Amino acid sequence: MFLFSSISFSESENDRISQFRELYSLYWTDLYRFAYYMLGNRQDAEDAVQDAVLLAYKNFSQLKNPDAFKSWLFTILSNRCKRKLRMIIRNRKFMFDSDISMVTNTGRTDELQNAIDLYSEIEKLSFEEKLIMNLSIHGGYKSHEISKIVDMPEGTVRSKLHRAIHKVKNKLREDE
Amino acid sequence: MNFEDKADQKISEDVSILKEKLQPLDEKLTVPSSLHPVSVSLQKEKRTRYFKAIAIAASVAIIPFALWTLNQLKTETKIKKINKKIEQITQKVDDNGVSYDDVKQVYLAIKKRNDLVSATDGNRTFGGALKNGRSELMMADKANLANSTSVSKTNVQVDGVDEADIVKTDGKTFFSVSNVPYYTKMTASGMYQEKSTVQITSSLRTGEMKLLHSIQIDGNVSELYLKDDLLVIINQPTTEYYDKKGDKKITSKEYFDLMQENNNIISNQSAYEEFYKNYVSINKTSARIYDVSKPDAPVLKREFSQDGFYQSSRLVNNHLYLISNAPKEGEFESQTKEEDVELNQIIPYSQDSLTENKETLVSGKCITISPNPTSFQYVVLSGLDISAETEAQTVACLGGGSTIYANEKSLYVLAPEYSDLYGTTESNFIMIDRAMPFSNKTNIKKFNLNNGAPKLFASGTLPGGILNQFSLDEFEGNLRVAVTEYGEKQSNSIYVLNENLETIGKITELAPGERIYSVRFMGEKGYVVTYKQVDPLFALDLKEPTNPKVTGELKIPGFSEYLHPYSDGFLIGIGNDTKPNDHGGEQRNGMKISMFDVRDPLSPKEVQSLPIGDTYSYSEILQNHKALLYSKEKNLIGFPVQTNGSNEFFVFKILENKGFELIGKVSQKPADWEKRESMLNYGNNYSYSSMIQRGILIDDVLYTVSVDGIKASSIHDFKPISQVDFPE
Repeated sequence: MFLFSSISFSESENDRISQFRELYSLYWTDLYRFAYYMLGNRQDAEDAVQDAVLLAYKNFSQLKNPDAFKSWLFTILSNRCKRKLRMIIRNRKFMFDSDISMVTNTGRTDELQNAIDLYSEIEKLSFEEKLIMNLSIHGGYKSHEISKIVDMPEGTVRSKLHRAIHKVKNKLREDE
Repeated sequence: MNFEDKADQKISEDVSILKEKLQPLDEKLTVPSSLHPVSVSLQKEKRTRYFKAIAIAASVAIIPFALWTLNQLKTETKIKKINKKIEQITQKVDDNGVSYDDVKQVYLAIKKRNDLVSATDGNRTFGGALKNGRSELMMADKANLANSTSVSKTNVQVDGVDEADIVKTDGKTFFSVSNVPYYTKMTASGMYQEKSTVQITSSLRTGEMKLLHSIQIDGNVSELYLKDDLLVIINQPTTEYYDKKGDKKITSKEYFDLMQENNNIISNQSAYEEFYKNYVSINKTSARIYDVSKPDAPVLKREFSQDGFYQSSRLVNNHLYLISNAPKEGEFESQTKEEDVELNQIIPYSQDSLTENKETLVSGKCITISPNPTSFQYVVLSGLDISAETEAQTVACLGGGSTIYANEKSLYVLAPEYSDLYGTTESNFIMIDRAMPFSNKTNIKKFNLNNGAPKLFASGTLPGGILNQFSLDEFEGNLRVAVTEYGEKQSNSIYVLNENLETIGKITELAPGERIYSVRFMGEKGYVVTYKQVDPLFALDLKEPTNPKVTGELKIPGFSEYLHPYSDGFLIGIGNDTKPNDHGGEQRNGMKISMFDVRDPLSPKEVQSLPIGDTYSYSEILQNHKALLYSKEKNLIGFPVQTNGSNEFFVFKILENKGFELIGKVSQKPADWEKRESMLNYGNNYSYSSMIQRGILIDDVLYTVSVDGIKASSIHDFKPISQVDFPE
């Protein structure tokens, strides 16, 4: 496999497909994890990522700059997650996906338990804080990049991210 | 290094640590193979069950293809049979409502169908309680308008039909909702606050502005009404849970503590489900009526509650109409015998302090079942007289609803039916998800209000989805609805329905490829804004209900999200400016306010467009019409605006059909802001300003209201006059 340094949209559908899959392969695990953290269960995360990929591919020819592929796909995925959250029963009883719970229940190391606790704290954040935090953790984005994806001023993003980190760290410190 | 870089560096360090800590969990989060770069599907196939069957057969076991498809066909036949049964039951519904047995049968049939469907393609989208509808109607009391023209009222959609809001005033006293910011008092669930406050403040009309009283209420206070000396507080008490084994109620906190404990020890799926099946959540919407003839000493007169999450409400004269969505899942399996189904799990209830708070199930006569209910959710509508001790009347429909539109005689509840939709070119354009009309179909239910005794009158379905309550308007008995229709080709339509909700006229294929961002119907005329790259403002001629027409179109950059009639032939639009982005599409470039000259229906014109704030400016008015301050007599328009780093209330003078001029901005913060707990989390170098939610004009004073307090400024020079800070 080789990377494309610029997207020249050849007439060939097959070429476009390869280009897209190539770019997607760079981010696919981060995208899924982002969706999982936003939605809290595997099925919805899988649906959200699949929807985002379909939508992205459909409009792939409009992307002028390959460097923008990642943030473009994360933006689409963020919006898919937002929509999904509105459709999920808000009265959700499970704070933690039973799939993961089962898999991890046998022989939980301390590190794994800490990771699960940390995940639970992130889950409790407000939608905006969660979105910004997850873009930072799973997208690896800085505040000014996040501000473009979520359409909020950079300063606001920075302070929300700061507050979210503060909240999460506080709770963990309580437990230590 | 400047401040931003330093802050970014600290954040990066913290995020790296968090990422490291999450590593053991992330490792367990294996990405499903269906999303692998090599196999992820890039194009939507016709999702028949056969394809999935082939995939599974290939990777799991050797199942003869013929046998597999035969099984699929059998299941589909079974499902068809069940659908027929449901249709039979729901069709025999007449004016007398249903019997409780009918409801039980429908539930059991739907559960059986769900079992079959999930066995085949894993469809789990049945259900979906929409907690907060976007609609908030404002009602202006006709009687009160006569005596207090110098007091601005909430911005309502329909004259004479009052809507609740977070602030209400009669000119002398302010009643405002002051929910303690959730980040200082977050409960385990993060979704409900334990206590909320309604603040009662005197205006300068009494000589002095001061805090008179604070009413502490359990749970989350949504909004208020003020009528004569009666204050109505609508709130959502903190969720409680019912422990079936222990036969007792437990609090939200107790429930989540139990959950935390048990998440660690439950080791398999069935034990897990057993545990949770034991707890049923109790969600109520309540209306508390206070006598506030002495504002410093309010007296609670009545509390009325109904099952479900608050959606919206209306006040017509003294009749309060309360709407909630009650998810009634029914914690039983499809094989359960009819006689074993417990009614309180499938029928919503109401409670009234007038009848000793007894939980009363809605009677069968007042229940209707939608022809094709897509969720175990009821829309519950109650009517009660706030000034009398007469019984309330409650009706419920299976098949919920979120958007509400009402006039003095009728109330419409709309329920979107969602499905997976591949919207058009939205990916490259701004995704303004504030209000999303992304549904395949919309179900409409029409209730006659009958002066406090609502009853379902008609029900119908339209293709597509509506934006918000302004997408509907009843005029001379006919209902006009603006929808965006989705599917392979997206476009927009206007439907005219008669009083029985039958379509008598329509305009279709309006602005293909775009979707609606704002609508305003005004009698025989109407205006619709759609957007893809430029903002076409469509002018509609609705004089003939059977023959609605588009008369003219205006294309300008950006798009309006709220339209407000100005004088005859002029329209104000508040919305967004746009600019090209890196992805070949457009992105928002801050807000703007526009004046449109629509005197010539064939050719609407933009008179002026004034940018507001900066690139990221945002205002609640973009999604909530109640955030608007509009004074026709003083020719002023105002709303709160957030720009980079600040929250201010902007006031514009309307220059007689010519446009706007920004004449002042107000910002405020409590005197002791640095010491407040909510500030400690804010970060060091950002100067705080209170989030102003509303602006109210009384005489020549502009009062700006936030959860921190109320500030009074002169409308002439915007100099501060007085301020009341609410205690934390």
